[in-house]
Amino acid sequence: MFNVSLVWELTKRDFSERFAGSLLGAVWALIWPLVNLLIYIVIFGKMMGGRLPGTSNVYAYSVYLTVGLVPWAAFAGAISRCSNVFLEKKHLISKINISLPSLLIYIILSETVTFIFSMVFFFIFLLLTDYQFNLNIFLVPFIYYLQQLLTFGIGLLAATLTVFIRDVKEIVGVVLQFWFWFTPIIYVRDILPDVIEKILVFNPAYILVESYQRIFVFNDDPSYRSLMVLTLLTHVLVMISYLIFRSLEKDVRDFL
Amino acid sequence: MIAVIGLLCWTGLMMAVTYLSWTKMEQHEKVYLLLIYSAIFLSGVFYLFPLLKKLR
Repeated sequence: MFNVSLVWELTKRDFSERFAGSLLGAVWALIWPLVNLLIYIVIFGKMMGGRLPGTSNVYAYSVYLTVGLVPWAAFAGAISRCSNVFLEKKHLISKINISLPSLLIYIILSETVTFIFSMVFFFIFLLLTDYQFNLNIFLVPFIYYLQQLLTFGIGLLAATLTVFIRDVKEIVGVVLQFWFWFTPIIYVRDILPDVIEKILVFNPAYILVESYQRIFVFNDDPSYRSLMVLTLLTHVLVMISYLIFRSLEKDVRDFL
Repeated sequence: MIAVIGLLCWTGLMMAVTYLSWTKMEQHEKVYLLLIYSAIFLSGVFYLFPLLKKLR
């Protein structure tokens, strides 16, 4: 059964277990996003002098990097962990009658907490640099929700298949590596060959990352049409994943 | 500001509808219903927001 308190408990335990035994404990959950943000801003923006073509702002590339890498980390991190969650939690699954998809939800929630910490530090940085906020910033939670729904769809499919074919977890890792470099996160879209640029619109991660980039870097509207198409495709994917999971659920429990 | 208030109202409305449906249904069908609501909600957000912004 889907149990909200269990999901919440697993999310909290995920943090406490991750930093178990360390002196600072859960404070590391705050330190890591801050360190990553500092690397994007100081190392890439200041020391390496990364600049965005067509912008004079010193921090434009740092902002570009942050709004690409922070959501990508939540997206890829959650998919990667979700793909192995049924095997990882098999001791729990065999003991209590738990709804298996809720195991994915706790991972997504855990990644969301890290995302929120990172975004809080990022907003503080923007405030310190006299950044001009625009109204489109209010769309960020909705774009993030769409992103994590896509994560859930891919993660549920991968988690189900990993129970039967252990290689799926490794394949997911390889696909995520290629996917990262196929998405303009650390480079700009313009440097890509025309052929690649044309097929980029079929990359869902690109639509999401481009939306963040348009909002934060270019103070522009995201492509609403692309987001609506992605919304429909994501929900279809989640439905298909759930249908596949439901048809194999009994076998998944038996295999574990 | 209208756009932000509109977004909040739309979110509140969809959350209330989803919560009521979720608590009243028992079987796995509610997952599919939840997904349909979610698709309507997000499509609504990306359709309404630019429209409401023009009303400023």
